[in-house]
Amino acid sequence: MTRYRGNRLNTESLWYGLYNKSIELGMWNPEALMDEIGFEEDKEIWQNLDDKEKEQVRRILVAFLDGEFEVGDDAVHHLQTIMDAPCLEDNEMKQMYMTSFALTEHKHTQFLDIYIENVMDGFDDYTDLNPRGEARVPIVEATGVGEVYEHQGRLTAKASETHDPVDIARAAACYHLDVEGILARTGFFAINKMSANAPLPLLNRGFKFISTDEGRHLTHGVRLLQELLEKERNGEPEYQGVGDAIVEVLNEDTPPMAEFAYMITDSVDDPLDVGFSNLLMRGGEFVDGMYNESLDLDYDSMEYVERIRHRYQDIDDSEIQADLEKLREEYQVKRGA
Amino acid sequence: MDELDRGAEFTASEEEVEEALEEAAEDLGQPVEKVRENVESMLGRDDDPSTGFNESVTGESFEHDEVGEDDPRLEAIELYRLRQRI
Repeated sequence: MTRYRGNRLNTESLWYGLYNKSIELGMWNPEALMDEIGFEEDKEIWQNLDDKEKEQVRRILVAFLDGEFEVGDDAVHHLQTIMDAPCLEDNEMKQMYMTSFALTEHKHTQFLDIYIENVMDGFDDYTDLNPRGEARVPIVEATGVGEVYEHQGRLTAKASETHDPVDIARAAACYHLDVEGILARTGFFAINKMSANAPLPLLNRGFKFISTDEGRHLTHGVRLLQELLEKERNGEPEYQGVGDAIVEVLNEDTPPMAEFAYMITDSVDDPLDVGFSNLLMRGGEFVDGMYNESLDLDYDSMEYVERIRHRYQDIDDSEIQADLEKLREEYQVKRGA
Repeated sequence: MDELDRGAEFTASEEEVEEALEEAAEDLGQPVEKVRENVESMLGRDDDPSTGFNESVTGESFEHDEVGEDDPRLEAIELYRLRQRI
């Protein structure tokens, strides 16, 4: 909703509205939030958690830390360019929104990075090798979450070069629906669920602001895909294949997303009672909401649930441990140690 | 502000929500309608009518949240007040 008209700007545009709301609601300052709430209570609660509880919180946060780094990077380098594609409408307003979009993603990295540094007593950290996201946290990489981030990087890079509508659909499906709509919302679910045993006030409020920002991002992603689907359904030749591409990307990302749910629950014995099955069923609802209610793709969300369940049953923890050790060795070699 | 079919239950009465909106507007020196519009935006149901896009505040998991208010609308109002300070 806007109160003003412009000349060069289409203030009636959805993307102008998202841009405006990003300024009004998305420009919260992580450092000011930290000043307002303080670290003390979180530190005290953290120190009273046992080792497994700490590891469960740590795994959720490092997955977000690597993820926010990747989405911020891809937003700057790829999404901004994609919004200039001739096959899209309202390019100027979409590009304008994307500037605030990129800022909010970086702000999330800022919150997580400073929080982890000031509250938690370390993690499996190879940040010194990570100037361009080349050394993700080993558990994130070993459990397949890194695969989704790699996928997102490849798809957004390709779409930014080709400006092809099907490539854009694939990129948006991975970035907005899978990473923001399923992975991130699953993480938000876990943060709320664990608050009964780990009611970390600064973390909780920070995540609620992050989730609110991500809600606007999801609106953008879904509306962008609706725009492409509408043209496909109207029979425009260039857009044929958009719907199939969106579903293909979901199927490609489903196995590693199952590993994410495993990584933050059963792989550490789930001491904070998040519940793998809770994440599984909520994920199915996210899929049904986005793919069916919003995009009308007639996708069987139970198929998603079954794929997640099958991958979960196949997960071999000893393989993950072996991958972890291999990654740590590779990182040590890179360090020259 | 409508409850989501697959989201957190609204536990506060309409009167309690209106009162909280009016208090926030007075504290912030903003019109009630502006506060309401921004709180509705934060609740963020938009294109996902049953599940909602803001899982932390309006999602099903909010019912497990032990840090914030009991009702998603009251929590969004509190977050909006906090937002104005940061």
